[in-house]
Amino acid sequence: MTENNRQFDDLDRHVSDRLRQDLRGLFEPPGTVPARADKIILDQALQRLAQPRPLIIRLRWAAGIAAAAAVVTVGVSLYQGPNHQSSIVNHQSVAVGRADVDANGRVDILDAFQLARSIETRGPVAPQWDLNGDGRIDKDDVNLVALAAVHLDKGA
Amino acid sequence: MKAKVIGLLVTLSIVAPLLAGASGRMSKEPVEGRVRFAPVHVYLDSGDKPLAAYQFELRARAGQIKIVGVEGGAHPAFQEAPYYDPAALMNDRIIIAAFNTGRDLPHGRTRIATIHLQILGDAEPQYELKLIVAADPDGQKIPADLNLQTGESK
Repeated sequence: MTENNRQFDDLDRHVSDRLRQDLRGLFEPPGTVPARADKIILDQALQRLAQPRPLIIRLRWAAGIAAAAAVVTVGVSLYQGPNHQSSIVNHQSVAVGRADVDANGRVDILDAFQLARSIETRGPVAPQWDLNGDGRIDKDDVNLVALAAVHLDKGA
Repeated sequence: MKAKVIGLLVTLSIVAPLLAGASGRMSKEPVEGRVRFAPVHVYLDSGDKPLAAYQFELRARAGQIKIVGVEGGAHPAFQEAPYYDPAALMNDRIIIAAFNTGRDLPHGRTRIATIHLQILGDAEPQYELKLIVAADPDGQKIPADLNLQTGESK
């Protein structure tokens, strides 16, 4: 504490009656609240708080249920396991039906091999072998047939 | 009271999927044990016939593996990475295939692919190897023997 502040701790310092009276007038509360008024206010407050608030309760329930549903959805999507497939595989799975080039009822690497040989030798090609639908039958279609052959959904 | 019920519901919703996921993983993963990486070399013997196309399937019969990569074979005709489903990566089963329409093709026993694996746990995995098809340059199926070799040496 500095020397200048010490004057505020001096309790015996003389204060005139007039100043004391003025200060009291300035800072004293303007009278007391009657006990009856206090009780009325308290009763009204309790009565209001005791009333059910259906809208707020409903909102709370709705928020809780929504949060729970969101958490369940996120949890399920996170723990579904490694079931991801690349877009090329999805594309290829759509074309699996047409990938049976040799028409023996199953798709294997020999279908891709036969299609590749047909393209190289300029042999006969069927329109349905345009697996990617780009209007040409080329190496991209061969790749799609080969990818269909090694797709893991086969023979699981 | 109702706030507690909501809190309980939310907690259950968080904990239940976590527990379900954990139990699902625990059945696949070892509780303890090391993780190591090892290659598996796959050889095909087509005898005196030239090999123009092949397709096989490999899966783990015992032990826990994850496929992390696939590379081509020894002969120039099959040196490029073969075809496989990308979904096989980090899985324990894969179908691999390749073909070559050229005339320079391997005969006899040749390494057709190498599969890189992550092996979980100390147990040595047991593999099941199934030849789906092997063919000559005319696309005709040929008999062939398929086997594998583990270890770094090819």
